[in-house]
Amino acid sequence: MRERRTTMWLLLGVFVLGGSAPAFAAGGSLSVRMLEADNSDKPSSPSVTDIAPMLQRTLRFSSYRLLATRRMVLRDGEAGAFNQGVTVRFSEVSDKSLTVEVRKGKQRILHTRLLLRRGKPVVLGGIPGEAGTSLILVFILP
Amino acid sequence: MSRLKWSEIRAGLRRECSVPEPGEAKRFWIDFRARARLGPGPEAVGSAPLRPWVWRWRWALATVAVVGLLVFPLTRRVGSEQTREAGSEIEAIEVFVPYSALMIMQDQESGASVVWLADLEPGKDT
Repeated sequence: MRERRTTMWLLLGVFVLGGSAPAFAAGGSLSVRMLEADNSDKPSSPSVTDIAPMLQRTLRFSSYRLLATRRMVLRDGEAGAFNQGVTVRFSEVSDKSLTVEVRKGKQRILHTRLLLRRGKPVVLGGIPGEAGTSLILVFILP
Repeated sequence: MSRLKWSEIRAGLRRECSVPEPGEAKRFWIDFRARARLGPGPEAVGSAPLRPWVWRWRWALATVAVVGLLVFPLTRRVGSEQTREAGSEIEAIEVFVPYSALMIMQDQESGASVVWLADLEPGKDT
């Protein structure tokens, strides 16, 4: 009986230690891409082939072009500047989620809390770009 | 080759070996108890038995090691599959400029979360 109890406690310890790994590693980073989308005949960038099927299923534009890629460190205050005056800033970074603020020029556009899982993108889209295009930000935890 | 019968073997053994006459039962038990009181013999002194708690811990650790080896890779795989199924999520969103619609879509296949702001009008405040 006592042996069983000892074994149960040891097993519980093993599983608790093994199952609580945080999603964000210390000093980890996030890949942030900025795309320009429209329904033109322009070819999509080869560097968006990994997310193109997902974008086609959800947003249904005919063309997605990569404007910029940034690797942003997961820490409070991390900021990245993109094309057409768009900036992204991180805050309230925890072990699984973070708050992202998107600005265009000096104007704050949105503020969102994201729970990120490895390899699962988060797409923020609909910011008007130049010449009738739409700007899309894609966040991926590698 | 001649085959001996069991009765011949028994008779032969009786002839060759002298079987001691059984002693008196009472005397045997007195001797037995006296020997038992002396405790373990000299050969047992060298290898002291392990204490029960040592055995308990040995068994517990061995069980944990075996179960861990078998189950841990499985739980890791199941965990990663669950993570693969559960996508990234939008926990909260606040928009500071006028828009006509806000859509949040979940793509089951890739696990992606997509936020789309329709007719966003930067330059204007809400």
